[in-house]
Amino acid sequence: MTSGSSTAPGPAPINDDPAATLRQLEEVRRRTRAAVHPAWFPMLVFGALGLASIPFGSIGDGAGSGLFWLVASPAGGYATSRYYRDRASSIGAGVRGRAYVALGVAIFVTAWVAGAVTESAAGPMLAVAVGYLGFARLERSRPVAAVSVVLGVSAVLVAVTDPAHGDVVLALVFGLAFTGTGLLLRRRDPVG
Amino acid sequence: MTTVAGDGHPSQRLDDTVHQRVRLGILAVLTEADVADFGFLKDALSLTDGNLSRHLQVLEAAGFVTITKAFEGRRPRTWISCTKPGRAAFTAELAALRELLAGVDRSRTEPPRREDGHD
Repeated sequence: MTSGSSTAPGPAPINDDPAATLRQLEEVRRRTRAAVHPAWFPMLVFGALGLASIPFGSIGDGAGSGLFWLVASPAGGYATSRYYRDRASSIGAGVRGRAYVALGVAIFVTAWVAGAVTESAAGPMLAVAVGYLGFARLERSRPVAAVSVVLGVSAVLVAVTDPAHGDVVLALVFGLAFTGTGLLLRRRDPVG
Repeated sequence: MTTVAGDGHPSQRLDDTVHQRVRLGILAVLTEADVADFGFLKDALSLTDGNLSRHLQVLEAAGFVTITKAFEGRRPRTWISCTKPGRAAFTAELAALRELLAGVDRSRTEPPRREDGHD
């Protein structure tokens, strides 16, 4: 959308074609959305952390994995928050962080409670999957929503079938799916 | 703000303050980004400084945007965000435009009426 026919503020309608106006507005919104929602960053960070967590699963009957996420989750959250803030300052547009921080804390707490109650990796992973559906909504990202559903279905399957090394399978699904989605979204990022 | 309320033709629900190409564009950006600076808006909408300033003043006077001036180091920066009434006005404008469009589509697909006494 350009300044077009209007150079001064005034009440005159400037476009008689509502279809053209709606198309232009949707394009402006799409470009802005792409600029202020860099979902690839947290996907990549937490996907990589998911893969890095795998060796810790074999330590102390799962306690190693718990300890890993106790440190990794806040660190990943802090890195994400810094990236969003720096990017907003750099490009001159961004989103308010309150909802993101609240969602991050909610995912962290519910995953810990689910882990304590179910004593398996499926519970926390299901909590994470539901949390990321909320993140997909905040980011208005279908790929993030799709990968969250994949993770949720995987967690339910592992809970039902109880396979050997189910925790490793889930960590692999989480790590690979999130890292892959992060890389895909990174390539589409107009800001770079 | 000069909203014309009513349930008649959708064009009567278009708001004179919002229904203007540049101001619609500004609100379109600000309903996606919670906050944007002057430079971002200027680039996103391909506007000149003066043009953007004038339209922002109109939106601010109508209570549709808030403008905050701040310094980052020595660099002055103007941040703009959309207010709740601004968001509501933009949503209403989009709804009215879509309704207008639906009306146009309907009139294209309906067969023309025959006048009485001409058949």
